[in-house]
Amino acid sequence: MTAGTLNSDKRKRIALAIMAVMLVLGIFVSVFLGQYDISPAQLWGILTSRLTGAEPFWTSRQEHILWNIRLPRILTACLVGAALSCAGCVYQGVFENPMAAPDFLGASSGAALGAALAIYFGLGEAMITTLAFVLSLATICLVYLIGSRTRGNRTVGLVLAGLMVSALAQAGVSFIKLVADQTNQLPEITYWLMGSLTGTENKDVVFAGVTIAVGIIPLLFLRWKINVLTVGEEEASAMGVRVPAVRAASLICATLLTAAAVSVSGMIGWVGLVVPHFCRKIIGNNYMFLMPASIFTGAFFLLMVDNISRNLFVAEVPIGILTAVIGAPFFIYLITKGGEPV
Amino acid sequence: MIKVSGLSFSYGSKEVLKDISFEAESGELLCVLGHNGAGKTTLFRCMLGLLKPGSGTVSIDGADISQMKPAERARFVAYIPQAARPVFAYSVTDMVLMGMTPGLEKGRINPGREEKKKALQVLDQMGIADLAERDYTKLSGGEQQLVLIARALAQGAKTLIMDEPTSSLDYGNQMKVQRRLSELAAEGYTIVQSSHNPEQAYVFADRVICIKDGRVFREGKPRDIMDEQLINDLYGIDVEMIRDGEDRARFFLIKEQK
Repeated sequence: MTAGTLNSDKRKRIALAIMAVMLVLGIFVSVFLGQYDISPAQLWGILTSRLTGAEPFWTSRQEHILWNIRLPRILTACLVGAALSCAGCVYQGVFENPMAAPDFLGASSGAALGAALAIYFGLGEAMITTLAFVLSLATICLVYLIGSRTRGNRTVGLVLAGLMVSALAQAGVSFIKLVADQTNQLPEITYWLMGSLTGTENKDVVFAGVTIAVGIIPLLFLRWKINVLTVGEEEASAMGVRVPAVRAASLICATLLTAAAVSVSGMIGWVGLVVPHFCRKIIGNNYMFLMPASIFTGAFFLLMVDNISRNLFVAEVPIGILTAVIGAPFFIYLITKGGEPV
Repeated sequence: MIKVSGLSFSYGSKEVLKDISFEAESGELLCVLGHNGAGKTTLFRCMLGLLKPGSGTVSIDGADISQMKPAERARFVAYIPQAARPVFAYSVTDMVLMGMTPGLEKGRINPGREEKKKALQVLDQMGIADLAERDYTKLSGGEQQLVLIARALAQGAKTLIMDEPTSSLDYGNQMKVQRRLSELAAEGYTIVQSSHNPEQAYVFADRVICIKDGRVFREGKPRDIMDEQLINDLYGIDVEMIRDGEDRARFFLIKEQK
């Protein structure tokens, strides 16, 4: 995967630049997709009107759709995709496990419980996101607490604790579904669990943007040390890396990313597993390149899937279903025909 | 020069190392012998600063390593593990670059062009410059071991600690790696390695430390201390030793009489 194809740093930089350009082009194209047509001239006019004060040659409806519906949704898709992919590649490195994904430690299950509770108590849109975020972080804290008390291998203990706490949270979700109002609440919970970017608002973008930036920026500074972590705890320590500190900081940031993404979008699986693997094939395992590549490609991938989700079918298909339908076969391709073993 | 004095270590209530003292001079290749579970790996972990000894100290050139920050310590002493297969494939250059992590100056978090140049120099010095762009995971065991040695050299440490560096290699590679280690010792490096092969220790080691039940059992030049009795004491088997001149020896297992 790394040898032969794209081993020199220069070629990796080119591949990275192509991924970034693809993302920018993807965002540009996505703005024009949707029920209401907006022409390129109108787009330019709407975007710059606040600066230029130009006379509108578009309807107020078009302006409303662009600012309050289409752009927030596009940006949220990019943010969620970038966050999940970045978190996935970090978990894989820190746990030295190529099968690790963002929901490895129960962040998604915790978020699901939070959202289900908020819907059950009728707390409203904003509280669904908030409670999902809070419970997601709380779940992870509990997992750490239990994981740090296990005897023997800490990493294995952490993963096992994640499995157990996830199972508990899922039981909680099932119970809420059982007692929830069958006509309104149950469908809403089910829909949230399937993952969707419908009804994304500007405040979601701000929330997701800020929390995801807080998570991603430290990770970008840690990415060389994450490389060193992947060769094993003992060797990394002997190379002067403060393993517990780097590992904890990486996991906290990755968890923040996961919690922020899931609380805004619901459960969107596969992105955090498939995108980093795809990037590993293209650009190699060095996190100097892999992490930015996962961020760009994750954003691009989720944006494209969301475009399909909101445009291709008469009724919108939840994006979580589509990522699974696209992600799973693609992953099978990657681990079989895709070339090298993982 | 690395000096271990009065070192003791316990896992819980189990005392693994008891009052161990020895030192290795610069330019010396020291071989640690002992049966499985004798405490060799624990000793090495203490010498690398990965474990905190219950009592006693490890010092390098007179400085106590427990007083050093991890990055500082890594510039004095480096670890060369058995050729292991990491989960993710990295290029040989990237592997060597990892060794330069502790050497990055303050304010620099990623290795750059300068480090890369030095990594290639070290690979050249090890005679494996042609492997630079290859995938580490696709190399033979012997080549991997040479890369790990290169990584330790890139780390800048003058003391190299190796836990059975050749035990997973085939016969030819064992000899090649071992010869390279002798050359490094001749260049002034201090090398402390463990081995499960007394014959190899006899040929390559300047001095042998025998650990039994967590204590230093015997210590000295191979030709002075290594004999049938020592092998029996260490491993519990009866052997016959045949010397070939001063610097080679062979041990043959004596079959039990029925």
